[in-house]
Amino acid sequence: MSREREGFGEYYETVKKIKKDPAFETTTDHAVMGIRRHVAVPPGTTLNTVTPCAACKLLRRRCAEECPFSPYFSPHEPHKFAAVHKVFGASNVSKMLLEVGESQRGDAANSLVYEANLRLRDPIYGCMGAISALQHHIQSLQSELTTVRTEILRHKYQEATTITSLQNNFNSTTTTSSVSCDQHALASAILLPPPPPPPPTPRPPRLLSSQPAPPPTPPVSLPSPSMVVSSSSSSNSSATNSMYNPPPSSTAGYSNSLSSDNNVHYFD
Amino acid sequence: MKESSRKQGAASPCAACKLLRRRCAQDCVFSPYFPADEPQKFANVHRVFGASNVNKMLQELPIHQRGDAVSSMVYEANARVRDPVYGCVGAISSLQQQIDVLQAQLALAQAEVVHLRVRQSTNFPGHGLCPDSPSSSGSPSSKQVSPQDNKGMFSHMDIVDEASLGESMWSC
Repeated sequence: MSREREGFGEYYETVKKIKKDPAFETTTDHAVMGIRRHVAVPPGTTLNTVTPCAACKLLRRRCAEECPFSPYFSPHEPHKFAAVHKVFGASNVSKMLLEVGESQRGDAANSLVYEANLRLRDPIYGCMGAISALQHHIQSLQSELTTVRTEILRHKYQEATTITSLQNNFNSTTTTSSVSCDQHALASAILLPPPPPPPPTPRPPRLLSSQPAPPPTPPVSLPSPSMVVSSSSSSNSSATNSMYNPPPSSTAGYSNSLSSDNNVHYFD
Repeated sequence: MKESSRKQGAASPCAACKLLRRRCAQDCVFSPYFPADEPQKFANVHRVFGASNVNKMLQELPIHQRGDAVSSMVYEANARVRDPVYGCVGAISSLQQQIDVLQAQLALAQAEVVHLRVRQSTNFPGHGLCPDSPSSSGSPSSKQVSPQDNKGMFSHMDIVDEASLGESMWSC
């Protein structure tokens, strides 16, 4: 940077010398002036290194070594400073940059450019318009999230209702003792079929196998209903556990929505 | 002297002309939006945007939209004074982060709904099998569904039970 400044300073000094030359004042040929200026550029330096920053270029003034704009407004992005200059004014931008610590001036400059572009795009609402649009988007997302969560709860309620009705049917079949053997076989057949996809095929062999089993072992028939009852109770308990797992996550979700509501209120 | 005092009373300057210490003309651009009793409002706008820039921006707008433009400029100037580094961009960034969080939560909730629907559709046929099996067993025993026929079904089931016992004896 300092090297760039030195080169540029030398260039200016050379121009001053040329202007002091009496021959230069009498000469009116622009081509000659151009040639002399080109020759006057110090050797070894490129045009890029002597280019002033975007701010000094726009304002047509000398870009000093301590220029407050040069680190943040590159000559390759003249539109950035042009926007800031039009909306905030060069002197205000300079003041605002100097108010901030040096390590944060880059962020400050970028945010000023962002706001200036929004203001130029929408001269009436500027940043406030962008903020308002984002707030509407948040409200829309929150509403949709509430709808989906309500549907989740409805599905879980339906599932719980189905499990309860199945449990009631099983209890009613168990209480009937007159034909407990046959209904027990039917109940086991009903419970087992859901996993396999082809229900009609395995039914006959299961019925055949179930028929001879009870008669040869009459004393074992007493514990078998209790085993079935225990298995059904265990399945119910597992279903209950799966039902209870989701509630804490949904509660966390609601707390998040409350916090986001607070944020929205703050910006309103 | 009386006339001058009257004129001075009638020509009370707005907050802008008061701060800039200049005469407040009848056609002053600032006076409708920056009353004298709200000096801080204009002070912040002047500090951030500059009076000449505000003047230019207001002149470029139709009169019926200048009120909204001033309100938004006041809002932005206050935000910039409050946060000299990020200004309004800080608020915008925060809102965008909230949107990202909500979109992630929404995606998870929608995935869970799809999962629950699939599970319920799997359970519904299983639930349907329960009434199907007694009806299928009932149909071979009797064609009609009257209570007397139900009793017949009951007796038939007993007969089937005895038959199975007989078969087991034969197998032994």
